[in-house]
Parts: sequence; C-alpha cells; structure tokens
Amino acid sequence: MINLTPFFPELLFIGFTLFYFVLGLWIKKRVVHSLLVIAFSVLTLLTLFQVQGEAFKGMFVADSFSQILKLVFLINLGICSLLGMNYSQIKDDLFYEFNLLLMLSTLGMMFMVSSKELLSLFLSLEFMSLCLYLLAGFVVTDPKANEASLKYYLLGSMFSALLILGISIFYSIFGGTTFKVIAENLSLISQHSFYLFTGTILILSAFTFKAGLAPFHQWSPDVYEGAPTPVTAFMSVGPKVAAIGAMASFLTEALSQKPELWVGPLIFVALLTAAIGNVLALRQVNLKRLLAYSSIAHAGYLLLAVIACSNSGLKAISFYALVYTFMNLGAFATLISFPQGERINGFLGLSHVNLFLAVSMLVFLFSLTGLPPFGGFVAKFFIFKSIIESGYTWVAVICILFSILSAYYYLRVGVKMFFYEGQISMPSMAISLRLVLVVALCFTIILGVFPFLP
Amino acid sequence: MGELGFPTLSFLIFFPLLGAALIFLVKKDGLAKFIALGTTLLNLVFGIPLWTNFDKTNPQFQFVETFRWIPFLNAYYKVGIDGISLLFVMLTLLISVLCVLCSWTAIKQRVKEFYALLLMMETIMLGVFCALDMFLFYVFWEAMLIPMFLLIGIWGSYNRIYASVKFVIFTFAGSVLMLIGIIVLYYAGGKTFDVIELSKVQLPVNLQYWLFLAFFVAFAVKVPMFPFHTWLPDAHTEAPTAGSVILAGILLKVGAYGFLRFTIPFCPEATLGLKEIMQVLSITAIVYGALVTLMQTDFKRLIAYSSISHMGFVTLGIFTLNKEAIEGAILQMINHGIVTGALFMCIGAIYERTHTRDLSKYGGLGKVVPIFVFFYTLFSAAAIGFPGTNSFIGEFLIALGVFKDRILLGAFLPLGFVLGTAYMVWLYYRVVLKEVPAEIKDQLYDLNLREVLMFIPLVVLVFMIGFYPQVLLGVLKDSVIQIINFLT
Repeated sequence: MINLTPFFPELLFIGFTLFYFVLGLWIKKRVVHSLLVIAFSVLTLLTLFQVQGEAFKGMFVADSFSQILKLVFLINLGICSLLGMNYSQIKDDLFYEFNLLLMLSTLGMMFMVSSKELLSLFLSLEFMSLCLYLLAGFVVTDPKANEASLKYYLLGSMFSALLILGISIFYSIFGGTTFKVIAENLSLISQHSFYLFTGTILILSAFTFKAGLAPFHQWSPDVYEGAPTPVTAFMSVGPKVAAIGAMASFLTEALSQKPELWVGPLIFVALLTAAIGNVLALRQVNLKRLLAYSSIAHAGYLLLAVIACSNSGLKAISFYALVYTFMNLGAFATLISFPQGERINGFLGLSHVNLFLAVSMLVFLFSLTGLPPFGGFVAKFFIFKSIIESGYTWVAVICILFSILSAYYYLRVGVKMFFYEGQISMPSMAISLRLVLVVALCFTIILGVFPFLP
Repeated sequence: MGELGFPTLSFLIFFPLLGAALIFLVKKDGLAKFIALGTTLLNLVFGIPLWTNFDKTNPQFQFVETFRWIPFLNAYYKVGIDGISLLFVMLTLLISVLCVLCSWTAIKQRVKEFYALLLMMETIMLGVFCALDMFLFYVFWEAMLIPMFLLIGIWGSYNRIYASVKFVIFTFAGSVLMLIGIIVLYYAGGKTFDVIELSKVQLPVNLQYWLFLAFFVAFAVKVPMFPFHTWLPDAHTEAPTAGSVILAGILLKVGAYGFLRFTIPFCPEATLGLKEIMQVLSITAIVYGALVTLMQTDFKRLIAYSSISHMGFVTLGIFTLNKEAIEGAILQMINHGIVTGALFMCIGAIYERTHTRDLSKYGGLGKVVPIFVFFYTLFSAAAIGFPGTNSFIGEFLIALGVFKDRILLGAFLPLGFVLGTAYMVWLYYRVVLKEVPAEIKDQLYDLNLREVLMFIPLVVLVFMIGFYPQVLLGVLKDSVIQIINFLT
C-alpha cells in the first residue's frame, strides 16, 4: 500500500478542482467564482503544513522547501482570481474557464516543486505550461493576446522538446530518472563526460526558459504585454517560482556533487540576466513591460540562491518567493485598479487623486527596489547572504551593481505619481481590489519588519 | 533593558513614529502641525534623562537593549549609545523640533504628509545613531532615503525632481556595496552582525582593505567627500528648508559617524594604510569646496557648497587619527549641524518673504530687518570660526591634531580658513550691507516670535560650546580614546 499522506494537500486540491469543474458551470456571479477559488486555496493551505514525507517511492516529496513554494502558488492563485474578477476584458461567461485554468496550472506547479524524478517533473511542467498557453491568449479578440499565446506556445514546446531530450540523455547515462539514482551514480561518471554536460545544459535551458532568464527571456516582455493583466500577474510569479524551485531541487539533490558541471553556465546566465533585465527596463514606457523586465531581473536574483546550492540558499529562495508574490502582485493590482496605468505617464499626479493607491504602489516599488523596511530588502539580503556564504562574492558584487539601475526605473514611476500634477480621473475602486492591495501591502511591510518563514 | 529600568532608547526611537501615526488619524492640517511639534518637543524632553544618566566615565556602550529579531538571518535588534552617539542623538532631537518650527508657515500643501514624513525621518535618524547591529544599522541607513526622497521631491523648489532622484541614486549606489561588505564581514567575523563583537575581531589585512573600500564609498557619498559630492548642492538647494536643515544637520554626519563607528574599528590596519589618501581627499574638499563656494550666486547653493568645505575639515580630523583631531572632528560635526542648520533656517525665513534666492536681488537687509540680521551675523561669525563661537574650538582642535601629525599638511589649513572667511564675509556684504533693492524692500518684514524662538536655542549652543566646550568634550573623551585604541 502506498503511503498517500504527504500527497494529501494535492489530492484535496484535485478534488476541489474536479468539484469546481462540475459545479462552476451553474454559477453566474463572478464573486462566487472567486470566493470559491479562494476558499479552495485556503482549505488546501490549512492542510499544507500538516504533512511531510515522501510518496510513490520517493518520486514525490513534501519537504519544507516545496511546502513554502506551494503556499506561494496558492496565494498567487487566490489573488489572481480576485484580480481577474475586476478585469473587464474577461467576459462573464468565460470567467469560469479562467479560474479553472488558473487552478489546473497551479496544480501543475505544486507537482513540479515536489517531483524528485525527471519524468514526473516534465509532466507537471507541461501540465502547467499548457494551461498558461491558453491563459495568455484568453482575450480572443485582442490580436496582441493571440500573438502572445502563439509565441509562448511555439517557443515553449521547443524548450519542452529540449527538456525531454536532456532527460533521455540522463536516462541513458544513469539508467534511471530519479534524483536519488542520479546522485548515487554521479561519482561513477568520468570527469569530462560530454553527454552528461549536454544533458545538464539541455535540462537547465528548459528551466531557464520557463523562469524567463536571459538569454532565453525574449518571449517574456511580449507575452507579458499581450496577455490580459491578471494572467500576466499570475505568470510573473507562479511559473517563475516553480521553474526556479524545480531547478534548485534538481541541482541540490541530483547534481550537487559535481558543481563544476553547472555553476559556470548558471553564473553566466545570472550575470547576463541582471544586465539585460535591468538595462532594458530603463527605457520602458509601458508599465506592464517594465514589470516584465523587472521580473526577469528578479528571477536573476533567485538564480543566485540556486547557484549557492545550500540549505540557506533554499530558504532564501522560499522567503524571496513569498515576498515577491506580495509585492509583485500588489504592483499588478495597482495596474488593474487604475485604467490609465499601462503607460507610465498615465500615472501623472496619481497621489493627488487617490493617495492610498499611490502610497501602496510606492511601497511595492520600493520593496521591489530592495529598500528597507520592506520585505524586498530582507529577501534580497538573504539571497546575497546565501551566495556569499557559498563563496561567490564577486558574482554578488556584479549583480548588486546592476541593481542600482533598478532604483532608477522604479523611482521613475514614483516620481510620476508624487511629484507631478496631472489631470486624471479615477473611478472608485472595487472592494475586492482594495482587499488585495491591503493584504499585499500588509505582508510586504510585515515581512520586512518582522520577517518569518512558515 | 536600559539602565533606567525601561527601554529608553527604543522608546526615543519609536515615539515619533507614534506621532506620525496620530497625524494620519486627524483630519485637520492645523492640528497636524501641533501634533508634530508636541511629539518632537516631548521626545526632546524624554532625551534629558538620557543625558543626565549617561555615565561619562564608562567607555562602554550604555543603555543597551537586545532582542532576537530575525532568527534565519541571525540579526538582532540591538541599540546602545556611547559618548559619540549620545551627542548625535541629542542633536537629532533638537534639530527635529526646529525643523517643525521652521516649516510652520512655509509648508502650505499636503501639510499632514509633510509632518508625518518629518517624524518618520526623526525615528530613522535616531535609529542610525543607536544601532549596534550591522543589519539594523543598514535598515535604518537605507530607510533614510525614502522620506528624504519624498521631502525633496514633493515640497522642493523648481528643480526638485532632478535633485531628489539624483540624491536617491547616488546614495543607493554608494550603499549597495556596503551591503556586500556587511555580509562578508558577517562570515569573516564569526557569523555575527553585532558591532561590539565584530570590533574585537582581528581581520586579515587584505580583507580589511576590501571592506574599507566597500564602506568608504557608502560613507563618502553621504559625507560627502570629494569627488562624491555632486548630489549635495542639488539636494540642498532644492529641498524645503526643513529638508536642508535635516540634510546639513544630521544626514551629512551619518557618513562621518560611520567612519568612526565602523571603518576604524573593523579595518584599523587599512585605515592606517590609507590615511594619507583620505587626508589628501579631505584637503581637496576643503580648498575646492571653498573655491566653488566663492563662485555661487544662489544663496542656498552657496551654503550648500560651504558644507562640502566644512565636512572636509571633519574628515580630515577623523583620518588624522589622533585624539585631538578626532575630538575636534566630532565637535565640528555638531557645530556644523548647529551653524549650517541655522543658516539654512535664516535662508528659509528670508526666502519665505522675498521668494528669491538670487544673491544679486539682495542687499541692505541690515537697514530693514535688524533682528534677522542680528541672528544672521552671529551664525555667519560662527561659520567662519570666530573666537568665542563653537566652530573656533572645533577647528582649533582639528588644526592642533593635524599639526601634531604632519606639519606640511597643516600648512594647507590656513588656506581653508582664509577662503572660508572670504566667502562668508563676501556673502555678508552682498546680503546685509549695500543698498536695499526696490523690488524686495516692500516684501521684507522682520522675524516674528516663532522664528526668534527657533533661533535662540541655537545661539545659546553656539556660545555655550564656544566658551565651555568641556560640556561636550567631557562626554566624548573616553569614547574617542576607545576608538584610538583600535588603531594600536
């Protein structure tokens, strides 16, 4: 008999998804949809930290790292469903599908960070991605959304093919695909195995693509801009964190004995990402695109902790992911509650019209920059601490120098909101959006002043 | 817990935050002013037991409070003060009251936000001077940017946006490397952020030089030392009066304080090795700052550039690394805070009347606004370092230390003093003497009671330190010896 206890939160969530799949068809009101999704996430959350251990002969492991990332995905799901509720371009009759796809994609992410085996990892990654391809093109009438969806799909399937190729190379070398088997047999492989190196690079490049890291980042600004804003918000947190988390557990558990295989390439990726993400963000005039580039840069910081390949690195990833969820979704919530907000110039003088919105946006921006006393600072500090602990101080120095640029482009939005006078009109904000903003604001500040890890 | 059986320092630090919260709860702008004034005044009163209960004969940190703060980073909330911090804490408490007073009528829009930010700024500044944990220190250090950015950007004058962004970018760029430095220090110093523990650690010399560099950039930008000074004239000029007073009075001192508190204890060998370079940079700042000051035609910008020259004396004193010079440097920091703060308040008061800072539009104030000129004359004399005023003592001590250290270096000091006198006297001539131009004559009226009241404590301090510097030097003495001991 298989021990299914560690698997219980996922089972419960699958149950909820199926339940919603049937029941959702009869629900008319958008609020009820969102409330249901939130209730499902909360109930799953409650069970999440109760169980730990492995199932399916070690293919599925619920450890504290994966649990915190699952927490992140569930929060992401709840908030994005609320954001979608207030996004008028998603029609009422499609809102059910929207929520269902969000839930299925979240399910994929949850499996992804728990799989300790390459094939199930591949399956869950595909499961997540297929939902995302659909979500990116959710507003069918918008040509930009169609372009985004198609681009994402074509490139995504190419990288999936690379991933499966890498996995098959690994299988041919090790005769198995679980992380345990790989780790046990790794020392038997000769130092300069060409196949091992190729396989590793192929697998890592697929993760790099999914996380939106340079040099495979080109899709993300286009897709982020084209996709409906709630979907962009969803994609900027969930899949990124899932890909980074899966990569971290793959490297720390399967390949940690041979860091020379992957540290060099990953440092290259991290530095390139810090450079590209920050430099290209400087010239953006569209806030959605700006946030896309900034999320590239943030994935770069997360990668630093992956390179650290240590226990504190994993903790740093989970804390950063948690903070990043709140601050980034908060910024997107501001974007949705403010119709003129897609262009940065639309923010002119916002603080005169709606001080609460302007101040919360400012807090999110400062937190994204990494200024104390907000969560983003502690998270960034943790990341840099973990990589310096592993001895790569020079990488940290270069990355932090690039982060100076980020202060400029985040500040630019703040400057527009606070230092200019503008003629803008502001519709009154929906209660649900206020709720999202308040929750995001509270956690961004609390995680900065009294940081904790669940 | 502190010595008084009560978390004195934490209370002082966070009390203004309470006031800021209260301001957001009230509706009326007029009430916000009084809450801010009440909070800062009360905080000043709460500071008095700190001064009276401080044990001058004890060179250790006092009023220390420790709490475990972030377990997974091993960061503690640890505050405490020695003689040096005590002086800066008192200065901050006083300057905060004056900042509220000098903005009383000058700030007309978004009044509530202004005073709330001012109070937040007080909390952060007190935190910087009390923090005894590197992580906590960095939190306060960086948090300073946010209220300052908004103060300059929202209530500043014409070129405020440029100035505020430049201020943030410069300071942020300076401090990120310190962040890396702090983490490296954490691992090199036995996995602790505790300042007292870290200063006991003997680090390898090679690492000391790297750390010195990382900390140097952060502190040098804040001081500002030549060549990192370019943000200062813009920020000072464009900031509202209270902002300039905070900048001149407190923020510039934070950098120099950092050198004393962190750089010298953590990297003593590197400090000794790089001493000459620092001294040359300081001399350059003194002379270059003074020369540029001579060229200014904008009232506020002129005083801003004079700060660069004055802070040059401070860093020169610090990096001369003997007792007299460091005592003089600390005294001079306090003096600069008082005098330059007062000068900015003078400019603020007169700008409120004339709405111009262009010196060519000024003249003959002595005939129209005698009370104003009375105070202005006193503070100008103090800025020059006139015997009997506070700056005289500070500059004298620094000069004494420098001559003891290296006579050749001392030879540059008279040049600094002469140039300093030149620009202040010339400024005095342009503003106070000559004829009154017609266009400002009608707008001028003399100081009112509130303005006189805000100048009086500063005048008292100018002469008290000038005639009896022992009040401050007595507090400093043992802490300075403690710092010098790190070097031997």
